[in-house]
Amino acid sequence: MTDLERMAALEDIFRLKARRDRALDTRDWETYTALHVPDHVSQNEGEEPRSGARDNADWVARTLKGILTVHHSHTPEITFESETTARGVWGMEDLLFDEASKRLLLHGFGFYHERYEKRDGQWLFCWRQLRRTVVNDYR
Amino acid sequence: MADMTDIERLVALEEIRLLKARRDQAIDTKNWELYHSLHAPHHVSHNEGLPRWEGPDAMIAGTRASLEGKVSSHHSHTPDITFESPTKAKGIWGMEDLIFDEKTKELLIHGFGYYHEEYEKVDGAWKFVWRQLRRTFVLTRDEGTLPAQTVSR
Repeated sequence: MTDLERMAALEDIFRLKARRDRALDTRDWETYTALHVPDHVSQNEGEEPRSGARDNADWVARTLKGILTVHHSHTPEITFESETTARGVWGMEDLLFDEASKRLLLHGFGFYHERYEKRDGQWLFCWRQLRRTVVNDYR
Repeated sequence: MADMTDIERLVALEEIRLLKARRDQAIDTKNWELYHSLHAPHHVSHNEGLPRWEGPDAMIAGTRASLEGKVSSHHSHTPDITFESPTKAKGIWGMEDLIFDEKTKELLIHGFGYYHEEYEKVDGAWKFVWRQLRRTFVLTRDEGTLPAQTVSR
């Protein structure tokens, strides 16, 4: 890739990530699903792997019922394997609150390890794994 | 999608991120002269639950009043910026803010949400022309929803 191609692709991946975090925290599951390839795999540490963009979004929606989330992602480290495949690592912090009582349920930190693919001209998530460094679970 | 080359888009994105960085810095350091200069004369701020502020002067008067005797920390994350033309753009930024009492350092507000913004390139420089804070969640001392705090020494 030329420098310019790489920089343009980086911006596309940054925006993809911004939209994923926002779709999650605003519970926009249609958008969330559309940001992933149909055969996306989420494989968080300590959880069973989940296959399929739609099934994954449904699982996340069920798990977060009655819970308000805040996900912040920082300082991406993106490397390209080809013009259409890339890997990323992002620092992350998340807060989970009980929607009714506003009580803090969980405060966590770690890194999102991700893979992206460009399909039909659009960068999408194809794999993700949250690796936590520390988590305070108050539930 | 606006008719821009990749390099034009990349340069404009960097300029808008710089604009945003300066705005967050200006508000938290209460540098109202800088804050003013980042907004176009026709800027409108319309935060949810607050009156509509038309023009930088009204916006700064409202912002100063709400931060009187307080210290703020605004952090913005993961921008989603789209161009409508080479001189017009929209942005959405994740945000977190903390508002403290200036004297006692007591935490008064801890909030989360999204800044929805519009920018225009005026005389060669990108400026804010519209902004709306849409909160997802806010904890306040007055509601008693902030967690118990340790006292700073």
